[in-house]
Amino acid sequence: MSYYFSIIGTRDQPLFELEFGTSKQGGDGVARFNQDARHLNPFIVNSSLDFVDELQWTNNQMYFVVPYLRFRSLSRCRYLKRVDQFASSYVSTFLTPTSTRFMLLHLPHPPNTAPQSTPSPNSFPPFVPYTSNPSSTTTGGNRSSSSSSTSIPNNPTSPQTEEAIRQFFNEVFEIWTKAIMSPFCNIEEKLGSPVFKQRVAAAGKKYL
Amino acid sequence: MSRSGLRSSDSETEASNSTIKPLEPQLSRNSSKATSSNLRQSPKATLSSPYASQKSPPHPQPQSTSSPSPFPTSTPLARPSLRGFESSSVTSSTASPSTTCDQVIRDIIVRSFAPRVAVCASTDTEEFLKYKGFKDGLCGLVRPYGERLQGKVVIRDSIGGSKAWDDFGIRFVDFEQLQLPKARQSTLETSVSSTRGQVSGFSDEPDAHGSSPGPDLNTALDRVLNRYLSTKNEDANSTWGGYLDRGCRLAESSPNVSPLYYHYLRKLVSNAVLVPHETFCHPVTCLIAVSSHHPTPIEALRQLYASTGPGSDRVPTWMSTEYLRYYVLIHDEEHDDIVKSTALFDLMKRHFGLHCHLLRLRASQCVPSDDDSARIPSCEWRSAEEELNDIRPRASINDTEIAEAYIHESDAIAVRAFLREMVTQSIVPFMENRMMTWNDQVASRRRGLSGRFMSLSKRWAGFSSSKNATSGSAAATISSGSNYDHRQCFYPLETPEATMRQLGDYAFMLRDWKLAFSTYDFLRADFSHDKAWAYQAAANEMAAIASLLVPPHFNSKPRSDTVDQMLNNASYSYLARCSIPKNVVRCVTLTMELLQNRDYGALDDATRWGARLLEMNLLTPLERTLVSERLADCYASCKSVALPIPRGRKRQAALWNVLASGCWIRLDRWSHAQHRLQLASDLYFMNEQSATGSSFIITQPLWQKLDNAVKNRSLERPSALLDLGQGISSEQSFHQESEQLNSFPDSSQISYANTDGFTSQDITRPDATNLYDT
Repeated sequence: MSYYFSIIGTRDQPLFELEFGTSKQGGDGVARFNQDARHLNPFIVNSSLDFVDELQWTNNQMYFVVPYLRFRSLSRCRYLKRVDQFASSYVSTFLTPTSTRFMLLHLPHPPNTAPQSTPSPNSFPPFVPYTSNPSSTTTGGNRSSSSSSTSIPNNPTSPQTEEAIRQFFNEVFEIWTKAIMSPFCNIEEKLGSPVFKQRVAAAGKKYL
Repeated sequence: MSRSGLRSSDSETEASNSTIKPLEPQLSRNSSKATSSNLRQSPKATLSSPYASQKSPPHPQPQSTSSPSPFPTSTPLARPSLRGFESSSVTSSTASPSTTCDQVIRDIIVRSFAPRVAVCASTDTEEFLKYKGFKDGLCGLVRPYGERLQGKVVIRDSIGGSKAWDDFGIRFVDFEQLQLPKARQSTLETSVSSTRGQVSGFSDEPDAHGSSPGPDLNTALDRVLNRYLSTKNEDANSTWGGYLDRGCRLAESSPNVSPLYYHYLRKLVSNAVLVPHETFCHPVTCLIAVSSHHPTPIEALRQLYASTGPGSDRVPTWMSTEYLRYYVLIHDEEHDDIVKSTALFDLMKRHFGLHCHLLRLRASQCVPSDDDSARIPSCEWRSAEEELNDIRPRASINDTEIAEAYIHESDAIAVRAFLREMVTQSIVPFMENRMMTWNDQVASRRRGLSGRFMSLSKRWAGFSSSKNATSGSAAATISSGSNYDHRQCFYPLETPEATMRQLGDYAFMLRDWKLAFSTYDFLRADFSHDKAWAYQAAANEMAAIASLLVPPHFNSKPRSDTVDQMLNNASYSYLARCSIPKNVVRCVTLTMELLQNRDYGALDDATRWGARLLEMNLLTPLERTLVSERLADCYASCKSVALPIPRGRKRQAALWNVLASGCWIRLDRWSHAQHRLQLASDLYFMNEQSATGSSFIITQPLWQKLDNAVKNRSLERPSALLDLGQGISSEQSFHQESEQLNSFPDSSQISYANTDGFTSQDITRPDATNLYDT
């Protein structure tokens, strides 16, 4: 499973980006995105923001009451689970109280192998029917066997995966709050701290 | 946390401004549509002209109301002035654009299911008409007029209510050309040089799904569309102007969707091949014609009648021959005696009943310089193969030749009156009668209690006998209770299933969608039990389409699940069991369009199916581009009904615009690519100088590559589009964009984060480092 993690500010600008691969099941932590589709990842994540916007309002009615919010800010962090899917890549989101969004795009494939894709000739984004979507019955087409296992790298929608992602997000949230406490760091600007990047990578290795 | 406080208060104001909301989406769409229409009509014009000709700048943002919730500091000051512009453009438009576009597509879909009339003319009739200048004979004469009937047609539905439709039409097909799919395939091979045309039906041809790695890239449909694309760029007064003018007329009415898409949609549904599992193409009526030149007209009519009956070899066994026969006597105004013809006509009426008509035509060929010449309207509903056959001889004709034929005005009036009379007084009552009969006798019996017991007992009989079945004759024993003929893959005519399928189709053609849906729904289970896969797939497809055409009375939530399930079944059966990928494309596209027409909640379903269609790997590159464009337009025009959604699906629209632009680049269609890229950049707010947050797009290498490719209109090889190892010499675009980027205080951090953000996959980023050297 390859991951593309991004922190998106309130104006849709990416504040931080990181690509990594799974370290579970013997994976070496290197992201293996299809070279063509890799550059599409920021666009996909950006387009998932539409769904995030929608879900953040419909999920929790607490938002419409003004006075409570300031006191309950911490409880407003919400893990929105799997928000979107684009041609076998899944996007999950974590929403912070300041509406900064942590987006994680994950592409399932067996560890240490590149995701197999059958690019059709002359197609611009190679639409990869790589794995079958477990939640719906798709037409015939490559049904890979990876959905049988419930391991984290292979199955993107299992509860274990969601739990792992949630833990990852929580850890990153803590790292992030510590990083933005620095007075030199503007919450709407890029996070360039190498320490932050290291810690995020470590969290990724630990949970994902 | 002040920002959050601001947002929540904005949402409250949003609630109070909900009445403004329905107007806003139309305003933004109007501006973007006007852009695209101007651009379409003059693809070579620079981008500055569409914007100059408009009153308001093309700004997608006014869609949201007063609450800029994710953008607390974005332009609330600029908005009131923009709104002033937008309202002026609203008053200049005639109809609300969104409904026009949806209406057009819905009309296309509804009108595409029209009754077929077979034309069986005697030889002297054909000669007479050829002399008049119609090389296709009688069929060629009446076909353009039949597609759109004059005046309203009143149709009574099964519960007794009646409705008038003014866009009813019928399709004419030559009886001689009603061929079996295999025979049709052989004629296709001779006339069209591709071996795999748009044939659906028996799976003799190698299918796109199993054997070959991808879709057939050389289908007739693809070639026709390519032909449209290349001729659209020519001047309007070329010979193709008339050919494409219908499409352009459509474009003016609803420029949100490219006219090419309308053509594509029409070609998808104009399929004239006879198959047993779909009875839309089976003729409802047979038009038997004889002219006044014939020495023994009554005899000729009798012979023609016999040739259309069950004994004829033209008629496959699974096609019902109990259709209406309509007799026409064509009277030659200039050479024959009207008194004689009238007497003959009375004789005909006495012999054959009241379904007769006397059509008076002039014998001479009409030239445009004649006083009373009227142009024959072009046929809208022609399949791709026919168009290709038509295009090829035209290409060899001189430019000065007329593309369209002309006819005398009196002839045109006579033909129109004849068709109107035929449809309103003979065809529609006949179909209504058949429907009522079938409904009473067959369908209600099946649906009633005893009918359900019958079908249940059939299933149990099948189960018990299948335990003893041997593998060889498994089919025979399983279907011991069913009527399906497995070897030849059809239901014999007398079976209730075949009758009910025809009932469903008749109901659909007469636009009684509730009855059609209930029939198809009932048939789905039967067919899947009988393992009649083609029938089952077709029934699922039609059930999905019918359920979406029924005017909604309740919320669509439960219906979307059933539609999904039906579509899943249909596409799986078509692909895996019957190997007819074209039908999958057709059914998913139609369903996607109909879902998009409905309320907001179904838009996600529609786009989900659109994305799945793309993933299924069945489309040619051009079709893929058209579908991507359509998805982008769907998202861009989505009506945000629910309150808290500030901007609908703008970002998704932008993503699909980028994808579509990339597809166009690969097809070497630079003006389209530029247009799409422009739309995407609008949606990404690049034109707005004060927005500081959305400029991440500029730094994306993909965006830069697309932009450069479009600006330079050159690409060494298509795969270079995404290959960033290749150095791009794009200094000039960086100079442009560096001005924008310099306004950001954090620009120095961009390269840092990006170059560190990626791990061992090596990317050379000359772009980022070059940027700040200058």
